[in-house]
Amino acid sequence: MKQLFFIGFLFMISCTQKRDFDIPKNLGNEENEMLNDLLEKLDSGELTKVSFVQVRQLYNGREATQIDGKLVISGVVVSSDESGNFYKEIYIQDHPTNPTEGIKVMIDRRELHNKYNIGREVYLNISGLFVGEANRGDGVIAIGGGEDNDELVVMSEQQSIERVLRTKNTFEIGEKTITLTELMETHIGLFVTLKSVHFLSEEHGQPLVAAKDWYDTQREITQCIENTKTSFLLETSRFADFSDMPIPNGAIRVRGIITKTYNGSDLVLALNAYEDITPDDPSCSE
Amino acid sequence: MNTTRRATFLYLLFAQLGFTQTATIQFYPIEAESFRSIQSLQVQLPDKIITTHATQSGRHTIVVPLGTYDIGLQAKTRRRLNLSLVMQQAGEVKDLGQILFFGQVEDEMSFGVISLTEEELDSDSDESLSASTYLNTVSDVFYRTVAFHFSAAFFKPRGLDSSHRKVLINDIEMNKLNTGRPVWSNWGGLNDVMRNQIFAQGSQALLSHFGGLIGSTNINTSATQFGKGSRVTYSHSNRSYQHRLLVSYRSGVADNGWGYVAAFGLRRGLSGAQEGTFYDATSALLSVDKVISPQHQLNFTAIYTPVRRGKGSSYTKEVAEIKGNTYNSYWGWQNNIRRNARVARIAEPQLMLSHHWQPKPTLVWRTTIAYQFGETGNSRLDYPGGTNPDPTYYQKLLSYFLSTSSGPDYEKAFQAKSFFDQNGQIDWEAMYQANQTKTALGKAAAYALYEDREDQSSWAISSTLETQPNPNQQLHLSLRYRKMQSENFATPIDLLGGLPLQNADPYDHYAYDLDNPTTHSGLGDPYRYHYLFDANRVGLHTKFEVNTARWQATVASQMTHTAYQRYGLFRNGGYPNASKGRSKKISFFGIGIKAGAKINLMGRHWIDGNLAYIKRPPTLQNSFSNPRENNHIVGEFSNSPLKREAIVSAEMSYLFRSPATDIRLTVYGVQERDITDVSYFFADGIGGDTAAFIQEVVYGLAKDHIGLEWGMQIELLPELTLNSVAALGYHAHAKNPFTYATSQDFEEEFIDFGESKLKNTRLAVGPHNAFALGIGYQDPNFWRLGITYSYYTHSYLSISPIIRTQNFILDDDGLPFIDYNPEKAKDLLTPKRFDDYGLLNLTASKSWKINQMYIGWFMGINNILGQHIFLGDTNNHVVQIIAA
Repeated sequence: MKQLFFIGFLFMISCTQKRDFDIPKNLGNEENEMLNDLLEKLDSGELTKVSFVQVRQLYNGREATQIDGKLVISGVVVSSDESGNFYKEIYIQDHPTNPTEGIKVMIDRRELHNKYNIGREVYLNISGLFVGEANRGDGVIAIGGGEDNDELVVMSEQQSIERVLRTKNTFEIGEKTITLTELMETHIGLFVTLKSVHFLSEEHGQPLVAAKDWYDTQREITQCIENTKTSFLLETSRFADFSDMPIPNGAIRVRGIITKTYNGSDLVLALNAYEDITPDDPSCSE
Repeated sequence: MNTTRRATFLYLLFAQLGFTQTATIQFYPIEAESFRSIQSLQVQLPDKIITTHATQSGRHTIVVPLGTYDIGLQAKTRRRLNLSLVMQQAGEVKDLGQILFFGQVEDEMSFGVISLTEEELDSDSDESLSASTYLNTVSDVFYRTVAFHFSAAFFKPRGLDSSHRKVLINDIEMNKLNTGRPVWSNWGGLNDVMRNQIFAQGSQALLSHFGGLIGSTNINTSATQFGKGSRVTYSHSNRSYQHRLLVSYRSGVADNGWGYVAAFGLRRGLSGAQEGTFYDATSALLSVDKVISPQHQLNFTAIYTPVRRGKGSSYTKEVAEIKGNTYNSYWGWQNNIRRNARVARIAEPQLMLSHHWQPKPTLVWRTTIAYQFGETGNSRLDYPGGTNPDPTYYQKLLSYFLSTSSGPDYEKAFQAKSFFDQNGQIDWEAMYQANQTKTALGKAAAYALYEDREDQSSWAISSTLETQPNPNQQLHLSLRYRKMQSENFATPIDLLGGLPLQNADPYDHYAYDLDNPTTHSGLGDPYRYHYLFDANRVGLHTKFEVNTARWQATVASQMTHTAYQRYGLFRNGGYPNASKGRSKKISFFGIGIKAGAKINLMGRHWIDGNLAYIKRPPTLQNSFSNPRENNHIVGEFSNSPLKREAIVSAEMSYLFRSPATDIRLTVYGVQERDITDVSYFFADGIGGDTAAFIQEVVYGLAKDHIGLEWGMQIELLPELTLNSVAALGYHAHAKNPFTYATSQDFEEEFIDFGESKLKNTRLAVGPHNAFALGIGYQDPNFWRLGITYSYYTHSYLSISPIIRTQNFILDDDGLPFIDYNPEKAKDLLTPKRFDDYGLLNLTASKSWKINQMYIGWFMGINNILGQHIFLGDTNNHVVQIIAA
């Protein structure tokens, strides 16, 4: 009788969920395996690494196309959706400190910064993914998961888990300083630093996103170099948590990603965070 | 001449032979549940029937003839037993030891019954009332059927919620002061030692308490009520938990006046009917009695029944079609274990000290003082820096993509369905990884597991005086005081590898504690909200009863005073001037009157009638509209102050009781008025197009309950019993209540929706009608078989009051929606009635006596037909072994 009870007691002790759970020891093993697999295939030649420019060439300018070859691209993440200024997209550039090209990748997942943080090295197996423009004619040729009406559509969360693979490395993104006169379409997707720029003095104190704008506001910034005054646009989305922050007066240095307006009419700079605006020496006298 | 003499001679010879050819048996018959000795028994011997009586030690002795034969043993209110005797030696004395006598079939069942449904285990919800609650109401076939059959179908007696069911332990009311309901898990798993119950049916008053409307119970844990004995019970089931073990030891009362009962039990299960619903409960009871003198008795009782369990999610048909009906969205794989994010735990020990003084047989004075303290916690995932981890979040399911404003997106819907199909559980690893990223940047965790806590501590004292002014009159007076304080807060319990959380709203960025806006909440720190609730109640109950041979009349009354107050410890950023510190103190007077009479007509027929009128305060829960964020009292805005609930109840029964037949037919009506109810949920489509987390206050609710209860038990043969039970009910809203909502996200303090058109819609109280037909076979050779078919009709889906207000048709500017279609609206607003269904249940049991030990085996199979009910659960069975 007593033995029966004791055995039963022991048996029952084991049959329940424990109270405390330790942090899993092998976080990210599955992703690691997929990455190792990709790197092996690169070595063996089964997959070929290409540049962003080469990928963009696969787009005929009219309809989003599926990528035929067994191709891979890699780079580091330079944008963050934490503030809400970017949404369901990441921009990557080919090198942390000496970038030459950048590209946009559209992923149907929110809070991407929790996985694809700034500086994270990523490898993308783009075979079978699509290349095109999210909004036809917007000038930003990007990678996505499908096409709808000839326009590029975001890739699904499941696709991103399988294709957009992180390595263990997070790099410090370097400063690439460019003057406003140098900025061109080829800089789309790069994280750049613009020094000594000014907002328009009549807009000082106003919020970055004007009350009248539904989606985003472009604010003019100017830079004076040797008597030439050049202008550029800083675009902020209404959904950014810093959209209410005021336009500072005085000279500033600003860092962000080069992209285009929704309809592709102009090049713009988009911020990751309000803190990327810092005071600087003035260039223009007004 | 010769014949007579020969006949006489033969007779004398036989008689003489008869006299020497006997043996003796002795045994100790005891009641199975309480181990109390049975004082007198009717014994059927081969040639005659005799009555035996117990000696002081409980022993019965019978002289029996030699041979091999069966004898029958019958004790009052117990099932008849057969014993096989083999007596071969003349003059031998055989000691049969203890013999257990069971009452009804369900008595054996109730030793190890596992019938707790999810609802009963969850103290937040309005639990249905089950076996554990009507466990020892053996006398009434209707309540027994409710306990063992109807409860599985979420049937609510008279459509009333459990705050109308009063439960007391040692005269102390167990219904919590903040919800008015008894919390069954506070004494769960101790069935065996809590069988000493006084039960008052329906709306009758208990001796020492005014009572409720659907039964009142006073459980006595005194050790002196038990005889000496020990019991080990093991049960197995596939319903809410798998293994149940209870060991109890009763010492009886020793000569020095000390006696005790000690019980210890475990309930365990890795998974109930739903995946990932683990169960982990311990039960312990210690009751020590000191009989100082025949007039004075002291008792100390300690009860501790901590429970931890993983919850099961409810889910929509869409989800069930993809994942089946054991699906549970609350768990995900971690280290090969199904880790459940929603764990409920209750650990509230109780200590009681009772004094019993009976200076003369007609005067008793009982006083009990009790203290209860402890913690209640419900865990869930928070995602201040991440996305909603719920795999069934509506934006992740295919129905979302099929109903977007730009038309159905089949591609996305298909992708969503595949994703849900292949994954569909919580992704713990993704949360750990996200937190790893955040920690590397020195930022607060994106995801964390936190617990909503309610730590209550309460004192109670109850003093009852019972006198008998006359042999046929009883007068009871009792005075009670209860005081409770609860500390309510949320606290992180597992940061999932991340850093302490920001104590601020992640969307609107206001601080939860404005006075400490930058403090981060780590493990165990208060988070989101922190406030105290104080409640106290003082009450005086009286009951006067007159008993004659033909009739009995009772009058009972109750007067109470209740006070509530909130004390906020966080200055909430959304309500900076109305959250910290003391709220207004609100108090209510409550009264109650009950009158009843029971009349005996012609021997076997009885008429029983009861009336009750009660005015009781709203619960603490329904008095504050948003205690997590502010001090506001319900009704503050809409200019309709909190009202007391007014309840009128009337019932009339006809009873027929004969040795072979038991019939009860009751007609009842209960009217509830001025009820207030507060709910919290995320609502879409408020004031046109707004989506917000709201507090919905509904007041002026009026409910009518009318119905019939029928119970009949007929003993067709001594071994064959037929039961027929029926409950017919009509439970509906009698008036249109009023609704208003408050929310952080509203521009104004509140939005008044006016009248909710709920009049005449039926209440969601489970099946309004329930029927059962059962046959039981009781073989005197210790085995039994039972089969019951029950049928349930008229179950309704609960209607959200906000939908049936003008909010349904008006846009944000107060004008009707342009595309409003009254036909369509009527269609959408039709109350939904569920399909009727039936359940077939089977029970079987057998017991053996081996030396001094009893082994009983009981099996119950519910829902043999495998009926899928969208509100209930699937097949389950109970196997149980009793050893005494």
